[in-house]
Amino acid sequence: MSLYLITVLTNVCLFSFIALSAYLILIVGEVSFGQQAFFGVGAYSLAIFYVYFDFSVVFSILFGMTICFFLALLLSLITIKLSGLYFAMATLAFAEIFRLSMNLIRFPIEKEDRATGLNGPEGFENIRWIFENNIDPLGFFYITLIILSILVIFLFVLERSFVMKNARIVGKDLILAQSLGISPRPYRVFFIGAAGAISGLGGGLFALANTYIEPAMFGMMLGVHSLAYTIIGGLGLPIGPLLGVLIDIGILESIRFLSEYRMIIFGGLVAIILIFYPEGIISPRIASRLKRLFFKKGL
Amino acid sequence: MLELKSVRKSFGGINVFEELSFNLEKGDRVGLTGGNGTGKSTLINLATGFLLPDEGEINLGNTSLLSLDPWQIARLGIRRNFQSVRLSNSLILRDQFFVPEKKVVDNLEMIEVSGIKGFLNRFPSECPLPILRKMEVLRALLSSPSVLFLDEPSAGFSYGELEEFSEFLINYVPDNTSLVIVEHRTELMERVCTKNWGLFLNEPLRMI
Amino acid sequence: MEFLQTCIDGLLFGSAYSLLALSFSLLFGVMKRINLAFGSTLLLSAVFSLWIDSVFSIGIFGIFLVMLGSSALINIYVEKLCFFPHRGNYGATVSMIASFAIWMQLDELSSFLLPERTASFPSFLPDSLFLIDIFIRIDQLFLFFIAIFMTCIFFYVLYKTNYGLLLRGVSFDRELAKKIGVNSNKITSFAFAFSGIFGAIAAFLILSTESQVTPFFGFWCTLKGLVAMMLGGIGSLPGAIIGGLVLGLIESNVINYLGAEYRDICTYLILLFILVVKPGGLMGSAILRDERAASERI
Repeated sequence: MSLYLITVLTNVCLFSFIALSAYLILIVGEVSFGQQAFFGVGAYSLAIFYVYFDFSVVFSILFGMTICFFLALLLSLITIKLSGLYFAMATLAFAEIFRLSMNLIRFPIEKEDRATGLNGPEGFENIRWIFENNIDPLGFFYITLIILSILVIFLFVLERSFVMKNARIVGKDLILAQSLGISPRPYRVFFIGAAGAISGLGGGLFALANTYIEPAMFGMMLGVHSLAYTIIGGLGLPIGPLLGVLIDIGILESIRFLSEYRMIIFGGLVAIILIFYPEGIISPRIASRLKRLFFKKGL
Repeated sequence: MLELKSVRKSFGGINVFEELSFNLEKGDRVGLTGGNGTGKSTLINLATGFLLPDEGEINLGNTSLLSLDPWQIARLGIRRNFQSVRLSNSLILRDQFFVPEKKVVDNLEMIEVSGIKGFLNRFPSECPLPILRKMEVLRALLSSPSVLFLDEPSAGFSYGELEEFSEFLINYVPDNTSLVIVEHRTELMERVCTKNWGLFLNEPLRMI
Repeated sequence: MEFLQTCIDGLLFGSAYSLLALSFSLLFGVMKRINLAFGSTLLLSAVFSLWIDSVFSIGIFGIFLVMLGSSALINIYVEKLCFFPHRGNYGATVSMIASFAIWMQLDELSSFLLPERTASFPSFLPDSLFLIDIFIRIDQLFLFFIAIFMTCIFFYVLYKTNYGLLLRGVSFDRELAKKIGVNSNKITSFAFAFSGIFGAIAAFLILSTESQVTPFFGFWCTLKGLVAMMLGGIGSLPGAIIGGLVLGLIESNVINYLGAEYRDICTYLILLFILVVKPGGLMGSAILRDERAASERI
């Protein structure tokens, strides 16, 4: 595999994390313009713990995920009375406040004769884990792929449980959910929290892969892109968002002559696909059909 | 058991209920009818927590329902359907019971008699309306409710389907479940219900 | 005195935000949707008219007219592609995402017409005025008064013309309007076109006070318009105006007393605060209340 292909595939995996986090929030009935903030918190947490405190990467990522989870929990509690556009704007404000704050924080240090540490808009450079441990791009790709796969398998298993089922009804028809005795709040709060953690996981891995992060990477563009990936890929199954990421990054990025016109094509493509598949390519209905095919119970 | 006391409800200046009082005992079979805008659905909405009264009390036994969310009231055993069919378009009927699988298996006979067995693997868009309405009733019944409100359940039924549906309700709604049927046309109520009330604009409930 | 200066600056600049917010509000009122491609439409119309000028030399007035026309047309394109197919009850999210996709598309198209990343935009009235120790730029003052004038026209069209009446009818209840014979679709297209023209006038004035157009202009318009609209209260037209002015006031004072780098962060903090404390915005919770009531009608 060429280095270029490995890079593309690694990016597909990394952005799948934030796409899946947008997915979880969409399932529970809300739109979030702010998942990029958790991606960023995960990235910066990893960078801070690894570079400043020499914690292991595993611990740094897990701790980063925990921070993201509680931060997202806080967000969901602040916005508990908000829904729809109000919630979306609140997430946008939240994410931008994070990004702009990172622009203001500077704490540069030197490590092994290299400049590193928080440096406002100039970013955090020299997160050298992959160099220090001789991890080649292919190796890192496998690591990312395995982690993503575990997550996706977990979500697939969750699909068959009442957790997902109830969450989807809360998202689709709140009144029906209430009439069935389903309390909406726990699902909403938990899914938003989990979405934050998953995005943070992706962010941590991103920081490792890129060795350099800056606040501008975690702007509104990333957030709305991940939303677009999910909506176009479909909300029916966890591979829906991955499909969306694949379409944009995978196909368009890798075909050189198209990449100059990427957004012109992808933008138009998204709008057109949504006309015919408003619930995405792998819509919940298609997912039901697939489930019917694979899991024929008695009765 | 379930009672509404002196309930007043208005919508932007239009008074639907002035001083509505309504009492439901265990096992009652009550029918409720009235013209357009007399508050039939509003009564159900109030009793199930989807609307709050401007004044008055709503109690289940000794518990006031006024501070509870609709889902909490549903969990107390007060179930309902809606005037328009509320089934998820992305799930097959079998996946829309929202009760433990065991309950579905235990009540196979009821599901068969209702006639929806053949449609369990279909999406709502692939099923005729009476099947969808029965599905909603079944869904509510499988949760063993103490009170069941049906909002125009026979809308869209033919006469034969209505007869069949009446038989189904008579046979399968448990004796200790109270049933309230709200309808425009009275045929269903006449067959199934023992007490029938009429809602009239700006007047208290009247036995009919 | 300094405070007065910042407030005047804030109001002058805030009037631009108000115009953008009004355009957003109009579309939200008619469709109950957010058009995220709005800013990019304005950007594309601006660079397009500059390009036409570079080929045909149409002069400042020509640029103005081409901007209005192209903005209206592009807006109709957005309407047909992103909003018309999803006009049912559940299409809000999908249409918003589709409009975001077109935002991306239009921004990239604009960057093709902006090979040097910025272009100079014609400006006029470059003089400034000193009024009792207060420094006022004439072109910003001009913008402010034109904004007032345009707002009056906006309300006149909306409340005193037949088209405006139809528009308000469709905003209030689309289905009901259809039933009494109103062509809701045509009215919606008209609203998009009108919003495009209105926004383009605003954009023209803003760009001429800036004397340049950058690729970020689209994003800037969309964001400021949205924030101003939410500050003032979504769906409320007076709210859009007040939201824009308040936003201008806040930004100008923050820049002056805290520094330019704190400007945006304060804006977002205030937005978040308003959303948490009073989601209906400054002009009250009427919209929020109506939405909740509507969702209760079961």
